[in-house]
Order: sequence, then structure tokens, then C-alpha cells
Amino acid sequence: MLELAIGIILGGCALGAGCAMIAGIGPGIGEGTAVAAACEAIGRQPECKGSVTTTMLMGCAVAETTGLYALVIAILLIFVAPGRFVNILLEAIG
Amino acid sequence: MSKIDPTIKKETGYIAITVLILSALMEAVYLIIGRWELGVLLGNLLGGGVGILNFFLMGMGLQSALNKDEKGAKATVSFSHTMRFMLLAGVLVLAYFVDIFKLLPTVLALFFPSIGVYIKTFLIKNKGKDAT
Repeated sequence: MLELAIGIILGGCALGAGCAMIAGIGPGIGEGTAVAAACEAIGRQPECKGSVTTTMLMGCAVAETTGLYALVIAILLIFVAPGRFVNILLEAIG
Repeated sequence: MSKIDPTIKKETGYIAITVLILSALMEAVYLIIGRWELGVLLGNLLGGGVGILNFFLMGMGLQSALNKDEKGAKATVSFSHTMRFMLLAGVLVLAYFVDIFKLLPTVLALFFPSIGVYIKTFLIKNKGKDAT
């Protein structure tokens, strides 16, 4: 029974980490959209390349923060959470 | 290797300065609360350094994507994104498994470039408001 409970904890953590990484898709799409729009803008007004690149870089950096949050959560769920949850379970059943 | 765009150099320099300032601030906070140790400094250096490298690599990826057609740009951005994510994941795993690095300062330092971008955006917004 204990093995089953530990298995459920480990499975839940792995599943949670996988779900958290869904947030990694968003920055990819966002960056792609930003680059596409920047390409268009530079094509229309090549003299604005500097300011367009700056804005795009900043936008991409902001968009990527979400992915980084997800990555940190996933890493914590994989490496830190299982040990803590198993300890809590073992303490609860004495 | 393609020439580095001056805009990317300038922005990476700005981000590096922001990361330095925020790192000094974090070290000061750790000192004040009495929890400073070498692992905090090393974790901070690792996280901050990789944060700056990540921003620079993102800039390089976007620069090379700008010079390509739509399909090539998509492939370049997706490749750059995946590689950078793997780099960040590797750093987090390293910080967790190697005892000389503390995990929390490493994670916090990885967010410093984003904080720098938020600060810059905020300053630009305020500048725009003042001008009008």
C-alpha cells in the first residue's frame, strides 16, 4: 500500500511537471509572432531596424519569463517535491 | 560567424549592468539576514552569468532569424528557444545536484534579466508620459 502511495506521489509530480511545461509553448509562439512582425516592420521601414530590434528583444525577453517560471516549477516538481511529499506521507503514517 | 548587431551588444550590456546591480542587492540582503555563504555567491554568479548568456543567445538567434525567409526564421527561433531552454534546465539541475551552488540564489539570478527588462519598459513608459 505504501509503495502504491509513493508511486502515486511520484506519478503526480511527474504529471504536474509535464503540465507545467505546457507553458513553455506560449513563449515559443510569442517569439515567433514577434519575429514575424519585426521582419515585416523592417521590410517596410529598413531605417527603423535598430529600434525594431530593441523592442523585439525586450518583448521576447518578457515573453520568455513565463517559460522560465514553468521550467523552475517543473524542476522543483521533479527533484524537490517528491522527497518532501514522501516525507510528509511517512510522518503521517508514523 | 555573423557580425553581432550593435543593438544586441547595447542591450546585453544594459542587461549585464542590471544583473550586476540586482546581484549586489541580493548578496546584501543575504548578508543582512545572516544567511550568506559561499554557495549563495556561486549560485548567484552561475544564475546571473547564464541569464546574461541566455539573453545574448536569444539576441543572436533573433538576429539570424531576421535575415532569413519565413520558414528559416521559424526554424531558427524554435531551435534557439529549445537550446536555451535546455541550457537553463541544465543549470537548474546542476544547481540542485552540486552542493557548492545554492538553488534559490541561482533561480532568482536567472530572473534578473527579465526584471531588468521590466525596469527598462517602466522607465520608457514614464519617460513617454513626462514628454506628453
